[in-house]
Amino acid sequence: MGEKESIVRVFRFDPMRDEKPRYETFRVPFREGDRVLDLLIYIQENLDPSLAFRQSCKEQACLVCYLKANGRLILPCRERAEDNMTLEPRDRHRIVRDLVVGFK
Amino acid sequence: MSGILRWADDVVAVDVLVIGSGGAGAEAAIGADETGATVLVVDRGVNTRSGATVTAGHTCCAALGPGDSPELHFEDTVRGGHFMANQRLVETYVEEAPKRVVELDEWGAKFIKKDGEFQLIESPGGHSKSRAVHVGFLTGPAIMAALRRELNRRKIEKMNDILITNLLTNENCVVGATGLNLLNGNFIVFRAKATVLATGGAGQVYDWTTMALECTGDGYSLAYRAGAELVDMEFVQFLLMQTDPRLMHLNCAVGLVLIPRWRRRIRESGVRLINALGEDFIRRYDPKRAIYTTRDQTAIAVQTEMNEDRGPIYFDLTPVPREVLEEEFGDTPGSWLPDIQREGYDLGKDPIEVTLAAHHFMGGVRINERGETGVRGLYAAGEVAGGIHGSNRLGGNALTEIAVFGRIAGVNAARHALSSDPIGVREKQVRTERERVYRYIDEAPKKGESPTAVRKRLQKLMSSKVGVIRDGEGLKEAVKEILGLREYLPKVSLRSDARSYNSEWIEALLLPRMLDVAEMVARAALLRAESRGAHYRADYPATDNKNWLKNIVLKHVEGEMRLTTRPVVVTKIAPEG
Repeated sequence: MGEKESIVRVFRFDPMRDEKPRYETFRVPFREGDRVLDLLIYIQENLDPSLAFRQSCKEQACLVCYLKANGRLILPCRERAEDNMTLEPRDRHRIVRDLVVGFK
Repeated sequence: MSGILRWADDVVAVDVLVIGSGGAGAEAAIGADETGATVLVVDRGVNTRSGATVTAGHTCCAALGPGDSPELHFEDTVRGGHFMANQRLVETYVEEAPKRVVELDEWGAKFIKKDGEFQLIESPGGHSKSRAVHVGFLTGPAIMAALRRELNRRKIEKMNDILITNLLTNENCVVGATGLNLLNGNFIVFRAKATVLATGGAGQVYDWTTMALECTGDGYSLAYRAGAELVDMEFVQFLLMQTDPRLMHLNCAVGLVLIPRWRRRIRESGVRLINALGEDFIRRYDPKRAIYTTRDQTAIAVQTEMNEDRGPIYFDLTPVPREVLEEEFGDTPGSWLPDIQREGYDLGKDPIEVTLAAHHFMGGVRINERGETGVRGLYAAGEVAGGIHGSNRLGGNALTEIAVFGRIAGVNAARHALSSDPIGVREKQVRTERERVYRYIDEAPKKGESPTAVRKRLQKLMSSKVGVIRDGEGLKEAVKEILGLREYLPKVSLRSDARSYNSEWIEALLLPRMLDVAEMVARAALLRAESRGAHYRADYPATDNKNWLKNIVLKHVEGEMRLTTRPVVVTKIAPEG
C-alpha cells in the first residue's frame, strides 16, 4: 500500500450493543488500481480489527460483498478505490453488524 | 445427554448434515434428499456462493464426444496424476462423469452447444481428447446457479454463516457437529446420523491462492481430529496468477484463462512467458511444449526463475494482435477483455506480471468409492477428499469430480442414516468445545499478536519452504516453525469482543486447523524423497517408481501426527519400467 490516501467514512452499527448507527472516518493508504475491498481489508488488518464486512472470492463471482459506496450499489471487489468514499450496507437487507447484512 | 442444553444455545437434529455448499456439498444434499433422508446444509458464508466452485473458470470434463470413452478419460487421469491416483476412485469418476454433466445441463447450467450437441473443447494439461463442456469463463457460476435452483426446488434446508467448530464423536462414530452462528455468536449442536464434509481445499495456508476466503482446509482438520485418515497431502497444485492490482478482480487467474491450448491463433501469434531479462525461459525447461507444458512443469520453471533472481515473471500477450484477442474472446461469456480495457490496461504494450498461487489440493480425506472415510457416520467429497487426482490434477477434472463424489457421498450418507439408530451426543464434548470456542473472546488478552498476524506468518512460511520447490532442510525447518506457531495460539489477542461477525474471533478459530493442514503438507512432503507431479524436491529431483509408487497416509494417533505408506490402489494400469 502507499502512493495515495483515501478518506473512508464507514457505517458502524452493532444492533446487539449500539443504540444507533454512527459513521467512522479512516485515512487509508492505497495504490493505483486497488479496489474498495482492499481499503476495507486494510482498515480491518491495520486500523480497526472490529470492522465487519463480507468477502469471499474477490473476483466478482460470489456476489456476497455488495455494499453502497457514495450512495451507489457496488461490488467492492470490482470497484476502484477513490479518494473520498462513504461506505454503507446495501439496502433492503437486515443489518447484522457494520457492513454485513443477512442473506436468506 | 439431556444436559447438552446447558451448553448449547440451540440443538438441531437431522439425518444428514452437509458441511459446505459448493459443488460437492450441493450434490451431496441432493443425493441425501433423493434417498429420502432429512438434510441440512450449513456454510461458513452464504450458501451456494462461498467456496471454490463458484469461482471455477472454465472447463468441466466428461467422456461425451465421439471417439472418447471413460477408459480413455481414466487413462489420461491416471497418467496425468503420475500413477498416484486411487484407480478404483478414478473408475467411479469417469463412469459417472457424463451422467452428472448431462444432469447439470438439464438443471439449467446451459453448457454451450453447437447443432444441439455439447461444444467440447480442449482442457489444459494432458487430456487426449477434447472433452470439456463449458459456459465460456462462467462455467463455475453456471453450475452453481443450476445446483441452487435444484436445492430450492427440493426445498432443502440450509443455514448461512455457520462455522463448524468440531465434529462430535461417540462410540467411534461421528454423530454430528458443533457450530458457531457467526451472526449472533450462538453455539449450536447439530445432531446427525451422517455428516458429509464438503469444505473444499486449503489454498489460504499460502500467501497467494486462487481459492476463496473459505478455503482454509477446515474439513482436513475436522476429519483428522475425528480420527479419519488423510492421503496425498504433499501434492498441491500451483497456477499462474496476476499480481497487478488493476487486474486482481478478473474472474479467473490468468494461468487459467490466458493459456488456452485450443486457441490456435493466439498460440501461433507468439504468446509467451518471460522473465525480468525478457527471456522466453520456459523453453529451457521444456523445449518441445514450451508454454504449453503441464501445470506442474510450469510452476517448477517459474519458481526456479524467481528463486534465481530472474523475476518478476510476465505473461506476455504483446505479440498477439488486438483483433485476434477480440475475435477469439470478445463474445466469450465472462470474457476478461472488457474488464482489462475498462482498467486502461494495454495488453499490446504491457505484459502481465504473474506469480504462483495455490490452486488445488490433490490430497485430502481418504475415501472409498462410496464416499466413506473409515470413520462411521463421516463422509467426504470434493476437494476435501483425496485420491482421485494423484499427484497432479488435469484441468477440467475438478468440476465434474466434485459433482460425482458429492452425489455419491450424499446418497450413501442417507442410506447409512436411514438404517441406523441415533447415537447420543456426549455432554462433556459439547461443554469442552463450547468453553474452547468462547475462551477466545471471554479470556483472550487484549494486547499481543493478532490472529491475522500469525496467519500471515504461516502463509509466508508455507510459500517459502513448503511451496513449489522443496528440499529436506527447508521442510524440516518448516515443520519446526509450524510447531512453534502453535505455541502462539493461547497468546493471540482479540481487540474486539463483539459476538456477531467478529473477524478476529473467526481467524482465531481457524488458525489451529490451518496449522494442522500446514503440518500435514510439510510432513508428507518431507517424507516423500522423490519428485512427482506437483511435488518437487530439489534434493530428489527424479521420480522414483521403485521406492515411491505408494501413497502417504496421515492419521492422528495418541496426540501425534502419524505417517505411514500404502501401495497405490491399481486396478488397470501401472507405470512402464
